[in-house]
Formats: sequence, structure tokens, C-alpha cells
Amino acid sequence: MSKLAGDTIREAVTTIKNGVNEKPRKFVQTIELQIGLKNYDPQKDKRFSGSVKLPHIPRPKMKVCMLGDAQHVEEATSIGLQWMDVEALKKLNKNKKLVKKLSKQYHAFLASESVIKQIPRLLGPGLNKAGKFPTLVNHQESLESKVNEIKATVKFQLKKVLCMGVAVGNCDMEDKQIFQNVQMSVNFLVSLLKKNWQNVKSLHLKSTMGTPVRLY
Amino acid sequence: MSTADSLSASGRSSEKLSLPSLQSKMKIDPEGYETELGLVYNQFKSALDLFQQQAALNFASSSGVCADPTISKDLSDRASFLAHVTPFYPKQLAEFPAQLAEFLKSSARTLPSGLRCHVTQALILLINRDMVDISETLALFMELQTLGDRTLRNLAFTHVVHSIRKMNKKHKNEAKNRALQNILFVMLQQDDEARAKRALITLCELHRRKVWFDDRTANSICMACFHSSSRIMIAALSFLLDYEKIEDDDNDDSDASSAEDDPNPRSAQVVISKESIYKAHNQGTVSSKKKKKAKLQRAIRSMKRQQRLSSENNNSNYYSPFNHLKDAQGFAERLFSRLQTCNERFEVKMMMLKVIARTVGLHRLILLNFYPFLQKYVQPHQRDITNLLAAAVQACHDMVPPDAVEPLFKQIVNQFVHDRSRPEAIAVGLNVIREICLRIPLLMNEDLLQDLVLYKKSHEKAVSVAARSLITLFREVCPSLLIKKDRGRPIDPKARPKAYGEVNIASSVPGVELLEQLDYNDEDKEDSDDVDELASRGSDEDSENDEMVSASDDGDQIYSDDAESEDGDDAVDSDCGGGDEEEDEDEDDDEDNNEVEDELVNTNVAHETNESNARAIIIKVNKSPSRKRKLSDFDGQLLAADTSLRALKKMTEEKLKKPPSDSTDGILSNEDFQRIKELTAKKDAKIALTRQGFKVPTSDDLSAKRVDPAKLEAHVRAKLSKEERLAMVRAGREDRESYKSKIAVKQKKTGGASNRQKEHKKQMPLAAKRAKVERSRQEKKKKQNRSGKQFRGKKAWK
Repeated sequence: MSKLAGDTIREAVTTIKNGVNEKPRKFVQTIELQIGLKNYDPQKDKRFSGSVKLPHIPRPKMKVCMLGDAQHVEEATSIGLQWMDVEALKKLNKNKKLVKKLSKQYHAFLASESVIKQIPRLLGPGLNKAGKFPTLVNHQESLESKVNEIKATVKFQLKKVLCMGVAVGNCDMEDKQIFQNVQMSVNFLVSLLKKNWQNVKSLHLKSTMGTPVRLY
Repeated sequence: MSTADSLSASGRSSEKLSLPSLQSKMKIDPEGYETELGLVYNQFKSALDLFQQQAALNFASSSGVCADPTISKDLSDRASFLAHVTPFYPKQLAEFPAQLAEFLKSSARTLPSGLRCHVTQALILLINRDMVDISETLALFMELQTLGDRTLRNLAFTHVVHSIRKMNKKHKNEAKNRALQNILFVMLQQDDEARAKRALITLCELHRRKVWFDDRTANSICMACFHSSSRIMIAALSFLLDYEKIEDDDNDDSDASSAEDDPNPRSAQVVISKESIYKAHNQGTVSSKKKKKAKLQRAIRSMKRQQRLSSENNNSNYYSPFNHLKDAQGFAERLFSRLQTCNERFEVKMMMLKVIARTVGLHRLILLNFYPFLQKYVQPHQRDITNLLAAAVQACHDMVPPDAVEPLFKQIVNQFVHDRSRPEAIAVGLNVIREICLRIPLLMNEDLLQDLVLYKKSHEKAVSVAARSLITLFREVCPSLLIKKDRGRPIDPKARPKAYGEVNIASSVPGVELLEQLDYNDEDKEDSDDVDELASRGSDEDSENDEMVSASDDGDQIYSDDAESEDGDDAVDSDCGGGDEEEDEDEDDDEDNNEVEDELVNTNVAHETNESNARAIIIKVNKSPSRKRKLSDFDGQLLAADTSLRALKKMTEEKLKKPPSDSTDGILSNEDFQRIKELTAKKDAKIALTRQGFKVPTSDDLSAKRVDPAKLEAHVRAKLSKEERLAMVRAGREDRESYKSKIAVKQKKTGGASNRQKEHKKQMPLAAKRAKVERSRQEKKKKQNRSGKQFRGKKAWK
């Protein structure tokens, strides 16, 4: 089998949904795509990484922090986004532990143009190490759409092991939306691989508390 | 002493003949010689005792190492004999290896060198026969290497390397390797320089032979850079840098070889269309064909380069220990602080600099203090300046804020590129600027670039080439900084470097739009006459979206039974309706289905009330669509019309985001990816055909690749040494005769008079002679007159 059939995805989505409905939890479960690779030597071959914007937001609760100048801070407060200004960053005083704590508090950061240049000076390499270096926001584009874009973005990054997991949806989404997200992420992932489908060992779809369903 | 001597002497004389023969006999028949074995073993033990006593005595009298050659000879003979026969008597000689090792451990330092070597060889033999485990004796062998005995050191070193290599040949026993590694790592950490050095050398050798090239080894070698002894640090640094060099040489070799003998010359041409090849060879005048051929060659070359680059990337220097650093930031910071505080030689500092720069570049670290530190070295007359600049280039990457590098950049510009500096310096400076701008394009501003670009008119080749390369770079990166004349014909005139921190997030599979285009074209060709089919197929392609919508419509019919029935007789399938709609949007010249569309639009307008209903259903999940469809076709059609308009809007939106689904489900198959690859290659070929190719490499490629200092001084002609100059002069003199007076040369001349001589000799009529004399006289006169009047200074005026 050289590729995935759409029907299997649909079936998997429905089974997962059923599983979720059978045993409701007190939170919205996330649906995750788990990937196993083969014929790939993470030491020898290039470790790929790439991010793709999914059509629908898989994790609406993702915490984003705005490191902004005055204008952006205002905008952020108006849409209820958490923010920090330069003064607050200066208070961290390059303290490694504080920076680490900051990076752990949020899933992603945004920064306005004037601030982002100072970030390496203000915070040191802490954010880089955590892989959460902020994304640039201009004053031209609306902050909200940028936040949504960040939330919809998933990153595929191969580390030392041959497996990866990535959130592609949650149980509040429609089947169709989940399907589209899965489709997009699978396509993108496979395009990253050197030999495309020949490098894919397995694909699983799984809700946070549910059992995994094998797709491929 | 004398008794001991005589004892051993008497024993030895009889055995000297017999030991080797006894050994061979024992190997044939182990059981038959057990008594002899016991005898020899006892002799060995007693010799050992004796030797140790003697050593103690000698040590007490402090007369140096044991001076008795006979005893040591005796001991070494027996040791090697026993080592040879140990495999046949595992029971009787069970303790022998341990004794031997113990002996070496306790008194290796005081033994005479010959005996030490022999005993070591015996022990190695035992290890090779698997009588002793290497993990027990590794420490001992490392110890032996530090004794300052060259033969012993080589022996022990090669033994350690070989045995570990042998151990890992078939398969790797991680646990065992780890135990051995731990012994060496601890040794490397020790303050004792000799031991740490041997440990480092062993580790490096094993790493180089690709026996131990895991994370742990790589990290411990890198950590050796922080050893308190500077010699260890230098050794570790040079090993790390050597790796870079080795890798680079390999790359260069492959470059050269691929340039010379193309392994697959056809593969590059596959992507270039046959048409252009035909045109290049058969169409047009000679000169235009020449041009086309040159273009073709250029395209092929650039394709090849790309292929080579991609293949290089796959096996990029992954053996380099830098890649395995666990805490790269910490490593770079520590090494940098050591660099700042140390007072080593310049060469050592240079090595540290290079290592730091490489780590920073490879892992894209942020080490902002590093750039001002480099700045103080940036001077044209600085020793090793190109290497230093190469390091500076390597330390630049897109995560560094441009204002951190700016002072350094300015310094390079000001120090190297000005009209009074030497051409070599200008060339190097321009090349360095190009490389830095390739990594951080934001550093460049318009005025500076336009100034720098003016050097393209320089008469020095190196300088003009460097300036032109800067132009080519900025044609790609940011053409708006160049003046119009220099912009050429850039592919994207509005190209602009990414702002700091800006990221491009792909919203679909790269290259998928090509596939879509191809599909579209194919279908156009196939059934350009049959628009209907195209439309329906188009709807199929977006099947998912469509089906969901239509299905949900069908499911809705329970709720919307009261819907109007004016179109009820029209039995159009809902799917078909959706297809028509889409096609309507795509091209409006469809006539067959015009009525249907009209109906659809009508219903849509008429039954606004249904819309809210239907919208609710879209959000809901469809339930058993097929059963309902039979019940009420017309209603389904109605609603399909209703919703499909909205769905269309949605689809057009989503078309931007969603990869166009191929025949099924929109999951791309291997074949699709293959096609994408081919299409992108074709597109690239087309670009390469139309214009000179320079592809800006991605930051990943840049960070993995090492900067070659030799490339920074490309085309700079080295100043010749005196010998070379003399050699050139001599080469010019070869076909010249030795010096002679002019007259002598003239007299020797053969082959008649010269034209000038003939002119002198020519007999002219008298009138002509007189006229000539007159003419020359007048000329002289004129000259005199003119020269007299020419004096027009202040005085002449007075």
C-alpha cells in the first residue's frame, strides 16, 4: 500500500469520536497523530523539521503571549491576549530560571518589530533553547489573525527517535474538520520525508484518553 | 644473590632448549604434560617472588631499576610460555592472568623496559584469547601508556584500539562499550596531564575510526576543551577542527570528480525540454545557436550543482562531534569565557575562535559578546585574517539580531574596502561582506551597497569579481537596494529579506500547486470540448467537501418537509447540482445546464427560510444520508442548491488552504510526490535556461556548511616569492644569447642588410640629396624658432 485511503481516516475519526462519547471526560480531548518512521537513520540522514498551517485550529486553548510595544499591548488587552512589555522583560534580568519559567508558561510567543530585536539581549538564549523564539507581528496585520495562525500551526520535528506526535484536532471539532487537518498534516509530513511513503512505518490517530487507532 | 643466580641458571640451561618445543607438545597433548606445566608455573611464581624481592632491595638501595638481566629474561620467557598454553589449561592456570596483571600494575614503573614489554605482550595474548576481559585491564593498559616508554606505549595503544575495534566489528554491545567509555572518560577528566592525554588520544582514534562516534564520546571529547591543562585543550581543539577539514577535503574531492567525469550526464538533461535542445542545435544562425547552447550548458550545470548539493546534504558532516553536542550553548559560552580570560598563543586563540564560531553557526546559538570580541582582530594586516574572517562569517546566522553584528560588519567595511587599501584586502573584504549578507541580509543598506558595487569596474580581477558576486547576491535577495542598471532582470523585483524573527509557515505541501496546474492542463487537453465533464470532475476533486455538504443536506430533509415543490419534477442529483454550481463559478460559458442553474438560483432566493435550517445542518454531523435520498429527491436538490452556493464560497476560500485533492481523498501518493519532484525540477530548469542561476541557499544549508577561507580570497593572486620571481626571469632568458656589444652582433649578422642600412646606401640623384639637406635645415630652424617663443612664463611677459 503506497498511501493512505481517505475512508480509513474517516472510520478512525468516527471510532475515536465514539470512544470519546462513551466515556466523557471533564475536558476537551485532543486528537493526536502519531507517526512512526522507518528506513531512516536520525543520526545519519538529515533531521527534518517543518511547520505547516492547518486549515482548522487543533488546540484552541493554546497559550500565546504577546511581547509587544505600546500599540500591540493595547491591541492584546482588547482581544484578551496575555502580554508583556519591554519593562516586564527587563525585570527578568536575564535570569535563566525566570526565562525558563516564562518559556514554560506559554506555548508560543509573538513579538512586535521593535521588541523582537532586543529579545536576545533581554532574555538571552533561553527562548531559543526552548524552541519558542517569538514570531514577528507587524502593525499592518491584525493581531487576532496572527494569533489564530500561530494556533493553527503545527511543527514536525524529528529528534533522535523515529517517532513523532502532533496534535491535529480536538473532539469538539467536526469530523470533516478533523479529516481535513489529518489530511493536510499527513500530506505535509510525507512531503518532508526523503522517500515519502516508503519512510512511513505507521500512522496512528488517538484522543488524549482514548486508545490509538491505526491508520496506516 | 649468587644462590639465586645459580638456581635460575641451572634451571634455565636445560629449559632454554625445551621451552618452545614443550609449548608445541603441550598444545598437541595438554593432559600429558600437566606435571611439566606445574613445574614451569612454580618456576614462574618463584621467579616472580625473587624479582619482587630484588626490586624491593634495589629500591631500598636506590640503585635504579633491577639490573639483573638473567632473572628478567627468565621471567619474561616463562610468562610468555604460560600465556601461550593458558587456553589448554584453563583450570590449572586460572589465576595466572590475574597474577600477571597484578604484577604489571604493581611494579610496571620499576621494571626494565624489555621485561615490561614481554609481560605486556603475554597479557595481550591472554586478552586476545579471551582469557581476560578487556574492561578489567583497560585501566592498566592506559596506565602503561603513561610510563614514557615509547615501544610499550605503542604496544598498549594499538592493543586498546584494536581490541575495542574488534569488539565492535560484528555488533555493538552497548553496555560493555559504556563501561569501557566510562573508564576513559574519568581518565580524561583527571588533572594528570599524561593520563588525560592518552585517554584523549585513544578516544579520538576510536572516534576517527568510527568505532565510537556516539553522543557520549563526542561530548566527552568536546568537554576536553575545558581541561585545565592547555595542551589537552589544544589537542581536543585541533581534533575538532581537523574534522571540519577532513570533511571539507572530501567534499572538494567529490566536487572535482563530479566535474570531471559525470556519472550520469543524462539525468540532468531529463528535465530540460527536448524542444530547447532541438532549437539549440538546429534553429537559427550560427551565433544564435552558440548562445542557446551556452544557455543550455548553463542550465545543465546549475541542475547538476543542485543535485550534488542535495546529495551532499544527506551525508553532511554528521560524524563531526559538534553535531552531537548536548548543551551547545553552554559549550560555546564556557569556551568563550575561557578564550577571553586565557593568555595563550595567538594560534591557540585562533583555534578556540574557530571552534566557537563553528558551534555558534551550526547550532544557531546566540552569543552576542562574540562579535565585539572578533571586532578587535579585524584588521587587514592581522595574522591569519582570512581564517578569522571565515570564522566570523560562520558565526553569523539568521537568529542573530542584526544590530549585534553591525559594528563588526562596519569594521570590516571600513578597514578593508576603501580606495587606499590594497586590492587583496578589498577583494577579501567584499567576499566576506557577501558571505555575511548571505546569512544576514538585513545588515546591508542602500548607500553602502551602491558604494561597494562600484568596485565592479576595478581593474583588479579579484576585486571586480567579488563586487559582481555581491551584485548577483543582491539581485536575488533584495534588488531594490541596487541601482536600476545593476538590477538586471531579477525573477522577483520585489524580493525583500525576511525581517528578523519573521517565519514563513507553509500552508500546504510545497510544490503541490504545480501538480494542480498539471492536472488542470491535462484535463483541458483531454476534454476541452466537454466542459461538463471537467466541471463534474472538478467537483469530484473536492469530493470530500462536497459530499459532506450534500450528504448533510439529504439528512436534513426530515426537518424541511414543507419545502416548496415547484422544482420537484426536475430529478437532478444533488451531487450533479453541486458540480454545476462550481463549474458555473469557474467558467460561465456553459449552456447545457443553464436552466438548472437558473432554477437553483431561484430556489435559493425564494427560500431564504430554509437557509438557516440548512446552516444548522452543516454544522451537524450527517446521519444515514442514503436512506433519505430516495424519499424526497426534489427537496434534496433544493437544499443542495441552497447550501452549495455557500459551500462554494467556502470552497473557494479553502482552495487556498487545502491541497487540491487528487482522484481520491486528497492524500498524495508516492507517484504524486514523484511528479511534484519532476515538476519542480522542470520549473527550475526553465528558470536556469532563462537566466544566470544563483539560488539562495536556505539557512539550514548554510549553517551545516563550513566556510572555506580559500574561497574568501578567490582570484587573489599571491605575491611571488623571490625564488619564484627569479625562476620566471630565468625562463624568459632561456632563448637569449649572452651579452655582446652591439657592433659585434651586427657584424655577425647574416641574411643581408636591414632596411635602414639599405636606405643609407641607396644612391639618390643629386637634386634629391640637396632637397633633403635643405629640408632638414629648415626644420631645425623652425624648431629653434618655436622653442624660443615657447617661453611664455611670467618673465617672458615682462
